[in-house]
Amino acid sequence: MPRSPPKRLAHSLAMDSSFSPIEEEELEAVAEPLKRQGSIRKVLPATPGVPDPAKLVERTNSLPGIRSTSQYGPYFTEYSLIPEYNMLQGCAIPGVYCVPAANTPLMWFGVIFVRQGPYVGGVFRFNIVIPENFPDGGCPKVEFQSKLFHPQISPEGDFNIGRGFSEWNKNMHHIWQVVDYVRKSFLKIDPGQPVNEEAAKMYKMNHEKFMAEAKKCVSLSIQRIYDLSPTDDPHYISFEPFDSKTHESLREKIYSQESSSEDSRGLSWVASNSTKPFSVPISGVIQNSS
Amino acid sequence: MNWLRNSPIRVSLRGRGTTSSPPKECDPAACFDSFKHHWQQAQNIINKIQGGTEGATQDDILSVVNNLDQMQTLLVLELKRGGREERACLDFLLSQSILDQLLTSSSLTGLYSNILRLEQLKVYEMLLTHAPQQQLLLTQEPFLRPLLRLLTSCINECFPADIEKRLILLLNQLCVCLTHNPEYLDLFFTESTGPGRFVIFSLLVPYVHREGGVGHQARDAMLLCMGLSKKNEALASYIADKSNVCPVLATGLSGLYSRLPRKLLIESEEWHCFTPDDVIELPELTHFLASLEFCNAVVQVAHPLVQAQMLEFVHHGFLVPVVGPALLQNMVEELVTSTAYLELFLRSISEPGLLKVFLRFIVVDHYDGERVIDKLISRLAGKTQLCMVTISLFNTLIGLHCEDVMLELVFKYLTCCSHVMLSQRKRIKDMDVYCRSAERLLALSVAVPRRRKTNSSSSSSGGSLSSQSSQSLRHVSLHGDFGAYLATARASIAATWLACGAWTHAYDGESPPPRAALVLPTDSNRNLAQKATEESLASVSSGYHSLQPDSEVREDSPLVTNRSSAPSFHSTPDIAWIVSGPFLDLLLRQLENMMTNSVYLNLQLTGLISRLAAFSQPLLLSLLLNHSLVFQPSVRSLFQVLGSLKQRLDAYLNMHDNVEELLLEARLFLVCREETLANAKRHPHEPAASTYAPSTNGTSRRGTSIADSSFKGEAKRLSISSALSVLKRATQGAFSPVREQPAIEYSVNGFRLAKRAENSELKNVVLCAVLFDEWLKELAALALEHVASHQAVPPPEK
Repeated sequence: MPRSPPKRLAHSLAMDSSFSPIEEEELEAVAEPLKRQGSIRKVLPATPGVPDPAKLVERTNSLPGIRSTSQYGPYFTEYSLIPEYNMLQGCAIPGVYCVPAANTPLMWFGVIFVRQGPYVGGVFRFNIVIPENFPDGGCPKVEFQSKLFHPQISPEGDFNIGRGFSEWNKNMHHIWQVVDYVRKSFLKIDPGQPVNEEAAKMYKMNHEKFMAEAKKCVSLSIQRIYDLSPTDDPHYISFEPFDSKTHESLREKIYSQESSSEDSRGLSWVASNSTKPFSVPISGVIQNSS
Repeated sequence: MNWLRNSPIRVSLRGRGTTSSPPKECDPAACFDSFKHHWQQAQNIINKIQGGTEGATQDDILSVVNNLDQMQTLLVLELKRGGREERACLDFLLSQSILDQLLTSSSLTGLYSNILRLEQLKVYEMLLTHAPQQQLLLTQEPFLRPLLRLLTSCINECFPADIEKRLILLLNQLCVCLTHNPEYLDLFFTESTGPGRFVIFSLLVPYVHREGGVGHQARDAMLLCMGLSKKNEALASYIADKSNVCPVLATGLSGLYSRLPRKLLIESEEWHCFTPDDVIELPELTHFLASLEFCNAVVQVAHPLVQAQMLEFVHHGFLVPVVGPALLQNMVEELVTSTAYLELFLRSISEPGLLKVFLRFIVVDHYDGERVIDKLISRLAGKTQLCMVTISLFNTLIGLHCEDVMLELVFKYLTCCSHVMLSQRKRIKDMDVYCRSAERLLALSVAVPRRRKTNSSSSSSGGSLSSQSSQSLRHVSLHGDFGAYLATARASIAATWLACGAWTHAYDGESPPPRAALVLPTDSNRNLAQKATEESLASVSSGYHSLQPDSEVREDSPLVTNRSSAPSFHSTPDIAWIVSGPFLDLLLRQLENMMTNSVYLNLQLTGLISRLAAFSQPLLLSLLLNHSLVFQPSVRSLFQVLGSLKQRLDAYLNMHDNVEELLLEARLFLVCREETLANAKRHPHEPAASTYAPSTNGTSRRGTSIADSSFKGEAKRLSISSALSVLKRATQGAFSPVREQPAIEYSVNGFRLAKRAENSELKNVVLCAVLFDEWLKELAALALEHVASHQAVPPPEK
């Protein structure tokens, strides 16, 4: 009965992610841990850092008192976003990588590798900005950092997310759907209700010129791929040319992690077709390793 | 003898033993001559004895022994020299069959045979110790043949201590040698020792329960044999079929168990299980545990054949005839003891095979149609010491994360899904993605009445106390540190998840399918329900009376509500039992009595429920932590119980003044307790000494003292809850103003000693309220972390 393991939350790999843009396959291999290990657990400013359970007593503390639940608000926001991020991980949306900022859970850094359509080959950065009172504050915003000529992206870089999510319904909508919607908008261009009129018009009237503009965006994005981080947030996704000295061992580690098999431990003598305790026949006495 | 002449080890031997190395001027040739000479003399005497009719005299024997001693010294010199020289003495010893001759002669020396036997054992031991490549000695007929004959002659003999010591040492050496060279094992299965007989092992068996160094060495050697049996069928079948080691070990457990104290004199209300310190102070228990751990090790290393036998005998020779009756008897004090023993045993064993036998015994075995586990479950009701140790036992049982146990306790009932409304069944797997359950839990926090500030003189002193102790709290308290609860919850959920990795079913409402798991109400089930209900009702009222010694039952007290609500359960106990099972039902019922329970019982109880709430199987998780699932009316959900508790706590606290003050004191008490326990864990032998100034007169241990009345009749002072005495010190040292306050007294003397019963009742409820609040945070943290650790897979797109 295969089940997914509980998330391991580490913060190590996300900060020095740096790779070559030339071979996308390699790049993705290195980018993989971003998806896996980025954590939003520690990013909340109001959270009093996660303590070492062994030192429980040594920590200082706020005033005692029986309180209302309002003080837990930041926790609830954070813990509402963790399943959202888990879902995004579970989807493994092709070509898109996201990691929550280290300083706030309300901002996720993203990068999309466009694999087909007019923008094929482009590597575009975007931020997902989540409303403070998530899931109640409406749809998260998507802001592109790369310059993009696209009917659904304003010249300032704001993605027209309202086109896909006119009203945010927290029981139906999730952030992974936003990310997937963004990805699809690069594959099949939608000129309806544009936020960049010029791009929409050009797409409809002069397809070839539009394609050329898209190509320009792609090459610009590649040119600027090694740009320095505009923020000091350690989770910002930055790139470096591939250097086997620095990156090869990391890459090997990632591949070897993939193959490591899950060892099942624990006590059970329940036969697979039974709901009776100790129903496994005597021959299979011990199921436990270690 | 060229294996010795050309041995490369000789060279390496040169470096050995600098202090005891022979003088360099010692001439090998002279040594050899001397060696031969000594043997000549010894042989003359032996021949005389063999030929003569009078038998040996003491002088004869002494002379032989003296000569043998000289020969050994020379041999050691030679072997230690390790140069290029010939191994003349050793060659001579072997070529002349000296060992054979010695053996033969010792059988003729009558009264003195043991003396010669001892000499021979020493010779073999010396050779094995000093010979390079000792294993090659085993291939030498002149060495092995007399050795086997000697060992065989030792079977079924009783020896004085010095021979026993030598014999076990030699056997241990042989086992070590064989472990390194298992290919020589077959040499020990020869005609001379009897067909299929492994003489080393037979000799070890009688020493397996021995205390002290000899027993220790024998057990070590035996474990080596057990390990050897894994790869040697002949040895395995000898141990399993021909030796009596398995029954000896199992009945040994029974024997040692019967020597354990049957009653513990428990003074501390808090005591619920044996601590390592307790075990140290009970030598019988220490001895028993050593034996149990040996069995555990045997099962771990032995051949499956031996393993199966061993488990069989532990079951039929120890658990069924000894532990079972001890758990099912009628003497309450003895039940407390045997329950605590069982809990300790489960903590002490680790081998899955052995655990299985214990767990099977608890879950499956019947005594007059009643299973051990049913009896144990029924003892969850009540407020007694028995209840405390039983909860502790279940805590350990559940902590094993064994699917079979959890199936029996919980999932057997929940898999039917009859506890959930039909329309809700598909929601069992739903994750509470927006933290609603946690929010609801935290909202159940007790409301502090803020009105009615009194201005009496007593409260002004209390005011200074409150400011002072809140100051202290700020430094040490865990209260309100939600991050700590989250971290703990995360760790415990992850550990539980990992430990359930080998489970067969997911228990998510689909696997196993609900239909497969119908539990029909059996008569025994119903009887059990009835009995437990009565028991719990009785204890509710008795517990209530103990709080009010004047038997002034105030009907308006909210404490009484649980009594008046009890009959409603009473009328339909079996339905609830069939739906969610007696275990969960009794736990939640016990939780409803939280306001009248002692704080220690509440700590145990909430701890157990939190442990259950760390399981991520949706059937259990939804019952405990899903606020929105609609259950059948007969089912108690955790949310219901918590809600009604909050109402009663609020109502009760509202009726009293100065509650804020008391809440602060209660918090202080819990924080001190926590800190003391943490310190005791960190420095088990000098609890809290580094943190607090040691008390001058060494505050006597107020904890539990155990009187082994049934066995020796002498009371033993134990440190079972030395934590409590440390706590007293801690509170006195760190918070000296508190000492004058009677409130803190219940930390050490127990609230029963407080004269004002009503006041103590209030204090207990206040403690309960603080605990309740903290527990809500713990549960909320568990709810949040469950969602965070859940790998949510979004639905496929339409």
